[in-house]
Amino acid sequence: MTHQPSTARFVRVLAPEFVPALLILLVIFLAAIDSGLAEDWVLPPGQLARGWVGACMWAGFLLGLVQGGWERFTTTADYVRHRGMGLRRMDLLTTGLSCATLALAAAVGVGIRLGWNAWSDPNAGAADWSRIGWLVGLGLTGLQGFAIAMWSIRLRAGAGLRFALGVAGVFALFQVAAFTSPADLGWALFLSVQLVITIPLLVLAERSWLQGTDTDLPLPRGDALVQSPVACAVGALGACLLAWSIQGGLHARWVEHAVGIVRTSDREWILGGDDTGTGVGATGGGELARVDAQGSWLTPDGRPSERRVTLEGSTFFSPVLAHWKASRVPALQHAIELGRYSYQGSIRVGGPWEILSRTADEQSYLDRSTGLVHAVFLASESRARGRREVFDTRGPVVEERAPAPFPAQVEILGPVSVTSSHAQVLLGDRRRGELWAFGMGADGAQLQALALPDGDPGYSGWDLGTNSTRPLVVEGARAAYEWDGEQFHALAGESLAAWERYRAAADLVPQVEIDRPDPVAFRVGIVEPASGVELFQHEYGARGGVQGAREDGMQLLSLLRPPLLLLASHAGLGPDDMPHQATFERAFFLDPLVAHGKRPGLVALAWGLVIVLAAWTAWRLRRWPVSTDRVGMWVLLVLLLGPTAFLVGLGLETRRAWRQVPVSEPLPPARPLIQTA
Amino acid sequence: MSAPIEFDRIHRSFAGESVLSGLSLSVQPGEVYALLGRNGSGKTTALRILLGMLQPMAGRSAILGVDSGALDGALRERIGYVGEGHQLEHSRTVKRTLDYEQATRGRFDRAAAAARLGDLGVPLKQSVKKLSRGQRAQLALVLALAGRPEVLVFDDPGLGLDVVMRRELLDAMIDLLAEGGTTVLFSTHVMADVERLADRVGVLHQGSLLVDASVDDLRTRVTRRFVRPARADGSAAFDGTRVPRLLAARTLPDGVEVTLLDAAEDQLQLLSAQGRVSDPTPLSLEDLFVALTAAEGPRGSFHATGAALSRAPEPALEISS
Repeated sequence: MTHQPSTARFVRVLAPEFVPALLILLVIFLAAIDSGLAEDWVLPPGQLARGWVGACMWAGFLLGLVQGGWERFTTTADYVRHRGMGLRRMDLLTTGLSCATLALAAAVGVGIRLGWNAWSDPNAGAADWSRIGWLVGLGLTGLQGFAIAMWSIRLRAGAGLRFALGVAGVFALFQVAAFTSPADLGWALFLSVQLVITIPLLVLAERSWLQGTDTDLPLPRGDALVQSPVACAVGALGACLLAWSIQGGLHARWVEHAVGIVRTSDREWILGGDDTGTGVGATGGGELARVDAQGSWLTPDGRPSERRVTLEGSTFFSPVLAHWKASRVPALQHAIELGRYSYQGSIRVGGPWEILSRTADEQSYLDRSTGLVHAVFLASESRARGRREVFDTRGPVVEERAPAPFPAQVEILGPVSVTSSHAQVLLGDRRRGELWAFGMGADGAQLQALALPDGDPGYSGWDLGTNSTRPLVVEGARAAYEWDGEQFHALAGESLAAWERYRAAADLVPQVEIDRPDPVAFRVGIVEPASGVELFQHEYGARGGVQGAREDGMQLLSLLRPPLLLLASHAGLGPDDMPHQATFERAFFLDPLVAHGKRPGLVALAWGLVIVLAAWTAWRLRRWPVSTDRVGMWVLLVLLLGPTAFLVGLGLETRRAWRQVPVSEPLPPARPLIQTA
Repeated sequence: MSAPIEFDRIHRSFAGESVLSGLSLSVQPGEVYALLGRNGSGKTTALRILLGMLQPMAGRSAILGVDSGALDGALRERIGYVGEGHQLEHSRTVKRTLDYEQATRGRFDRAAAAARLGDLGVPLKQSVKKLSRGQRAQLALVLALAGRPEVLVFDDPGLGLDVVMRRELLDAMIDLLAEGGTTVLFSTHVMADVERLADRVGVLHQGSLLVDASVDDLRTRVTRRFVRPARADGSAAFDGTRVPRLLAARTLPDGVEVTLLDAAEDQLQLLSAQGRVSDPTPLSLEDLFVALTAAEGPRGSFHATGAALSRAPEPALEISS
């Protein structure tokens, strides 16, 4: 090798760090792929893509810890530096290699998944390679995690604070990703936002890298002006997230145990209870029994009247389940399935064991982001060859059909699986009162506008669900109409009476109302929709020592938040809904406990606490030769960002760093006892 | 600053403990300077500050006329450095290490280094981590020397080596020095190495330099005498404060052993007043080092069994060479 310093330095960083890091990342990606999330990686269909954002961030964070830790804790740093590899060059090399590592791991991971899809699932061929922008954007989120790790690992603080700030930084970034969810943004905007976040983080990481790790010296003024506020802000965000997570968790237990509706095979139940047990409150077949108006069973206190049951084979109505049931199409972003027609048949082609099986499948999708209808054709044959069954899969063939003439908010009425290739699927737009029929087998005019009989101007909508076997009924302005597969007929006679009975019974599904938005004390009511009569109500609050302790814990967590944000929450900035994790997800920095004027004493206590901590900070720093403006900065940070800024200050501005600094010209040294002139 | 190596009032502490408090020294061109000191006396800290690996809290240092904080790659090529513990990348083979050195240092003579390693029996295909400690030391030294440096900085190069290996190491250094012109600063605990190699010696103790003198001066001008007290029970206090150029005094059961600089009549008179004084004996470098840096050092008060000895801080004693 001749004199090639750049190559040699690159190889030096590559060999010990890149290969193990790549292996770690590959394991992560393969594990994630194995869990079936890869479809979301290939094609983020919305909220689920956040899981991939998180995975990339943590992978990048891990990579940063490996690389930064390697350089920090190996004993060859002096050797390497003396070979001309300065800190800046080392930083640039490791950052560049991290980009390459993340990109390679992602590419290999996705490649394996696509290969797997191509082999196991013919529909995977419909994946859109042009959406590489999503991948790059997700890769940048990994680089953000890397930058956070490199920033935190070089902070001049103890290992505990460094790690805590690193973890808080990744959590905070991940939470920020809630504002930049791929579901809300196009790929270009998503990519741009990630780029805007990534670049300053990398600059910050480099600055942290260059400042060194000498904990016996205070940070120079310029570095302190940048690093200290950033560290405090990250710490405050972490505190908000911690409070949000634990408070939300405590509150979620409150609410989840409070009330739920369970449907078994023959009746509906109202279910309630708390950690200590479960009670059943109401039963009835289409009609609700008047339940215990006091709702004492909802907070079991050990009375003999409490009943605890185990319901087997029940189905919980849960928005979470509804989310998972949502149509997910790996091929088309934001697509909904319009219809599906499947055919399967077998014929004898020779001897009694020589059966040829054919399967055909046609699926139609509406891409809500583009308004285009796509048809996907799949076919497969299987036949016996010797003692083996041989499969021959053809397709998928994707055809782009005519643009849909209706808005993206269209919903499917009735079942999507049809038994005939010429069957029609009904679509409706509630807001505009329009109805459409979608023909599965039609080559030309697949979509046909429908009109209700007798010029009925619109429909108010009655969706029986895509899997219902009941007749499809649509309510117009003047009557209810039944769809026979080709046209509408007004309901009359026994059909109309049966429809009205059905609808009246359906109206009896109770509505659960929760008012007074407070995580600790709230009121639950169950209202009969038809009459408006409140069947059940219960006041929730902290009862007993355990629940009281839980409430106290929630309030203590509030004190960790920046007092300014507590004040903003108190003043009414924040969601009006029932405050729990979901509604405060994008406002995790606000406190539901004090939201909308609640608990002014807690806000006052938080302010009192930070004033004491700010005074303590000033007293502590003034004992050392810390400049006045630096003391002022820390006091301001503590006042603005709360107790976490105080804790960060304890870690960054240490007595060890300040006590030995000569502030004036160094004293002349003692002369040697023996000196040769 | 014109000397190749200069420290100017360097202060440095770790966790509040002062390690260097005003270190000042310079090494002249072509001079071999041995920095001695007990464990934790600040030798490694001084060398790391000199090479810009560590920031001093006050003062400045320079090497080849350039401030230590501003050393660039080109200047580092002119400096050979073997760090504490012979820092090398353990994951590489010796051959890869030579490749890396050649790639990163333009002045590196790969052929000479490979030949030298062959002479020393260091296998080129061996992984560095599988080399013995002595072989790693040899490798580190060969790498440093093969860069044909103008300045060599070694941090205890013989650490962990047996006598034979250390001798080979010294021979290699002597070969290099024979070519002339190379300035060397090395730290060590082995006085024999110093006596073979060094032109000048510095003794670091409690953060400052106790000795900064040529080896020849120390050999010829430092002597030792034994003072037997006039009273048989030995209870009388030995007062060394009035004895000029007294470097150290050690209480023994039957008297006091004194280390003197530039023995002269005035010293003898004052010592004789306190007891019977033996003839002067020459002092080895190791004896001098022990006398200066042992717990009963010369810079503070000390008490010993049988007699209380006390002395005030001594003014600097200059030797005109």
